[in-house]
Amino acid sequence: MTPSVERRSFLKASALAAASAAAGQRAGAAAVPAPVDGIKWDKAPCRFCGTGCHVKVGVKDGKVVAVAGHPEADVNKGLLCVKGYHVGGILYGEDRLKHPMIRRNGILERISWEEAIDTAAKKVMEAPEQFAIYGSGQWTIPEGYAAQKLIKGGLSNNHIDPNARLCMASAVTGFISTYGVDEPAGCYDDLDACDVLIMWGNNMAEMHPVLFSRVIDRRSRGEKVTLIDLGTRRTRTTEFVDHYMEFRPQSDLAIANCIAQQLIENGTWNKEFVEKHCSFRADADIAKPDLFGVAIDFEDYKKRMAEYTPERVSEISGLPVEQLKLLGDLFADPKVKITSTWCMGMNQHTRGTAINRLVHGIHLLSGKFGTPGNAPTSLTGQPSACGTAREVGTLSHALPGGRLVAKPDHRKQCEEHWNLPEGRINPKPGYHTVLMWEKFCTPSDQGGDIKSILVQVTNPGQSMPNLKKLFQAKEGLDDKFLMVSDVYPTASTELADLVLPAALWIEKNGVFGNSERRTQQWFKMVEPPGEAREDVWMTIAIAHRLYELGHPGMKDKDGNFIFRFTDDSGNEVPVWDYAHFHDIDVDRALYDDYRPLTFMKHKHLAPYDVLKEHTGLRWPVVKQDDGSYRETRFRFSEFDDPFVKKGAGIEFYHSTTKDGRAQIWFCPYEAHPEEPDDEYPFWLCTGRVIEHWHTGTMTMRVPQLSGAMPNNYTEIHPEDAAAAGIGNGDKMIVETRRGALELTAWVNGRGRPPRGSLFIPFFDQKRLVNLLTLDAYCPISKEPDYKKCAARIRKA
Amino acid sequence: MDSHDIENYFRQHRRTLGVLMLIVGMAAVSGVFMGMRQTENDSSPVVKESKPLPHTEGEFKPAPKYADIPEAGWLANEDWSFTLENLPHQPVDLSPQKSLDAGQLAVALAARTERRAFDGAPPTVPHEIDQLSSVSCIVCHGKDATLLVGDKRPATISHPYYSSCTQCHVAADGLRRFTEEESSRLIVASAFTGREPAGLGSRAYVGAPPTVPHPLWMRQNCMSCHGPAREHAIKTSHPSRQNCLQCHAPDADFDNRERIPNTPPPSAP
Repeated sequence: MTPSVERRSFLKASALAAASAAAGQRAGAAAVPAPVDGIKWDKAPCRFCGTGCHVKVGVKDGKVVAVAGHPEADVNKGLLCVKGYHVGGILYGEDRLKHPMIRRNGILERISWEEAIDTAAKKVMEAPEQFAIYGSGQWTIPEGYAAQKLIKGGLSNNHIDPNARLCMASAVTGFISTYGVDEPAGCYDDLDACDVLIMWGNNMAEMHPVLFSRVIDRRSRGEKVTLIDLGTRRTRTTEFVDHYMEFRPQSDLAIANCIAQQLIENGTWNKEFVEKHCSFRADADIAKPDLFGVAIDFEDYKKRMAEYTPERVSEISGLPVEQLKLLGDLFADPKVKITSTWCMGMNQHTRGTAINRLVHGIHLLSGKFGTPGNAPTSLTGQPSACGTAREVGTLSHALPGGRLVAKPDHRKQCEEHWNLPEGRINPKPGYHTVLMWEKFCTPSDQGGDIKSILVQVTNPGQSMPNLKKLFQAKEGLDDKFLMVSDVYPTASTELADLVLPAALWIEKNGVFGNSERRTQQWFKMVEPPGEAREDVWMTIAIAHRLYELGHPGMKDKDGNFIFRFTDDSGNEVPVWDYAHFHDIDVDRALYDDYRPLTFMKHKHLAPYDVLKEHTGLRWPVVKQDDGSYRETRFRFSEFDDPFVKKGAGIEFYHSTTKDGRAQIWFCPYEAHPEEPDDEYPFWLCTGRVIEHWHTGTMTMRVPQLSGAMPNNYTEIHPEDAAAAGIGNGDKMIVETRRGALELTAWVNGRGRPPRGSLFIPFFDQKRLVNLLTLDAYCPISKEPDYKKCAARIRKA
Repeated sequence: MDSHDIENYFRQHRRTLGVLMLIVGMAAVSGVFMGMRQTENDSSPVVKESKPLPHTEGEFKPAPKYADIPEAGWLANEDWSFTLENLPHQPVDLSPQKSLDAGQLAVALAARTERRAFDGAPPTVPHEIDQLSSVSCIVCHGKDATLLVGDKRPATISHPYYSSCTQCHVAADGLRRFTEEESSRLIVASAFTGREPAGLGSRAYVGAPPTVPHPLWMRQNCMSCHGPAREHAIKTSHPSRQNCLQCHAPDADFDNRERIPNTPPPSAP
């Protein structure tokens, strides 16, 4: 199919898709010879992290039998990590959920899909304004879009938030308060061009291994690239770097400010860049910070930064003055190209928005922005945190395409697009993740005004911070109803009242959006097991049952069902009836409906037919005079971004100050709300390991991965262990103000924390480290801090 | 002879038996000490020479605390050599070798299959690894194939331009002594069955060189797997010939081609 399909009507296109195959498979197979050994290969993005590697999936007799890196994929160029190579195995754990189940007298019993959907819809009907959807950065774009439309456009209720709130919300607020629009301006091509890569609290060798290899492989080719690891413990990343800078947790704020202070003090900031493209900004009241703050002038900025001298920051951070000066000198050198990357270290931070702003700020102040190799780039942890959480706007305050529920014109645009009566969308933002679960876990008569939650594609029973308060407290609250759609039994299904078995990855069609603005599409390749079904079908089926039960919000302005799909003759296809779900490509229909909403913020997604032919394209994807579509690698840069005014060089065309400028923020260093003290003298940090992905629901079912990493442990410094009488391999108790956990001590293990620090991975369902973590969050992004809290230890 | 007779027998020969037992006991005790002295004088291919052990009590140094081991010298064991330079090297025999028989081939294939989720997956590591640093992998696997570690030869890396080894290769038994009891671990069986090895390459006629029955991606050094010194491997019978692809053609059928070829995305300069 050619891109000209774009101009045809959506109806024709979906009919074409329907005609090609009932399961949405590709047409045109005849041109290629019969597959070897009966193995058919097709493309898909990897199911795991936000890197967005493309894999080739080998299917034989209806089962995945092999996976290979996609050699033509820009992101990974044929390479994968150990999780990616074994991604096929995630479909075949023997405890896959195959039937809907309802909890009766404490026991989950098998029920029919009709009963499950009916139960879910009736629970919503009981109190539609007290129903919430807890979604995911692993939702496909059509799944998130359908959930978004159901709750905001149908139920006039904004209680929808994705787990991405726990993951990259601080990156979003950092981008928006700096550039006026979300998502990185640079892309992975910066990793090929930079002279210096600074990883801010970012263990790339384990968490984004393919991107890390993309950098270190340059050394194999004889290129020189300097790697700097700004971290709070030694990791596999540290083993490859030129400079390891071990700082005291929370002092990253002071370090970023110290770089700015040196640029100003030494007069080495990029005056031309700043005068043309930047303004200065700070919070009006640091006790009550907000997203946009107030303008300050350069003199004010300089005055506030003045105290962050290398000597003072050395005291705060523990970095030697020489290392701080090394950083200052690198940013001062106009010839050096610097790329910064970060992920959870900066985002899961009680001052997450502040540290994001500050790192953007030093790149702007030094002019290390907008040319290949010069970029501040946040990496995401989930495959579609950017695509579904951020672009579709499945957050409690957002609408699709960078819109906000608080803005009347944005609500109006969505109401018109969805053909809804005016005023349907509620102007009041819903509960963000932590608040949603707090309200759900609080008894109704004590203000707990969330009655039911539908969870899709995520595992809050393991991933929420302070689990006892924010998840486990649900137990025994009989008027609260938890609905969980998942693929395996998890810590979340343990408390679920209704369990919905879901199709996983290539058991359904899908579209993801990765960290570098790349939208990736795939088709269903194998059948889901048992009665497992697509999440998007569940959403539409619940909506249709609500329609039947008479919920007025399930009708559009003309009285039609809000999820009305038609075939090429204009007849409605009853996709809520699973027997007809595959009559058309519902994914495509939803994507085509969503795509025009991306144009307002110039996030032009590629048409579905163009995506089909590629291993993803980076938005804005703009149609050329010859009819082809061209992706954009460097946003806001005239040489690459078609939306920048000619002659501007760099233009921040969504500037918060409407003058084409980005904001350089001042934010002070502030102490963490739970610093170690005499009673709890250790810093506790949590995170991932290379073998497992997040809560391990999928990777623990792959023998090669669970064999390599069967359980979690505590990384501890040898002197701390000795002082507590703990030997390597001994059982130890780690305790915080919220809970205690017995774990095995690992001295000189994979990661090596300094004295006074502990590290525990969070993948292990049997030892839930989030019983210990803190639920304090950034006041702007509402993202909790999983990286820092105070703990104490003793020998078990 | 009933039990009564046995008792009588022992009663009568009590003294003789006592002497006999004493002799046996002395022999056993001295045997233990003899055996211990034996190892001291033994000549090992790894430890070239060793200093005499200290004889008086004061000469023994205290063992380091466990926590100090990374920084401490090994004190009493300071002569123990575990640096790579001191490991023996044994040149590889490049003379023509007998082809593997069916039994050997089956063993080689079984060993290969055991370490892979499917044909084409990165093999898992069959030994303990340094969890922190990939440099330790390269120390052995980056060397030429003459190195001997014990009685094994490490496989030489076939893609040395990739240096983050643990990105793809994980230890099969990863945590060893940090692994919790089975009862307190999440253990789920898998129904995944991976692609089987493709078997022999095709031959145009009897005696023709077979084609390569797998992709060449990341396998540019054929000798990593097919070198003559590897145990349980599908070894070449003619190791002196170094340009493998001169005669063994790669087979495009194993390129994992999609049914529709992808076109490269249009992009800026």
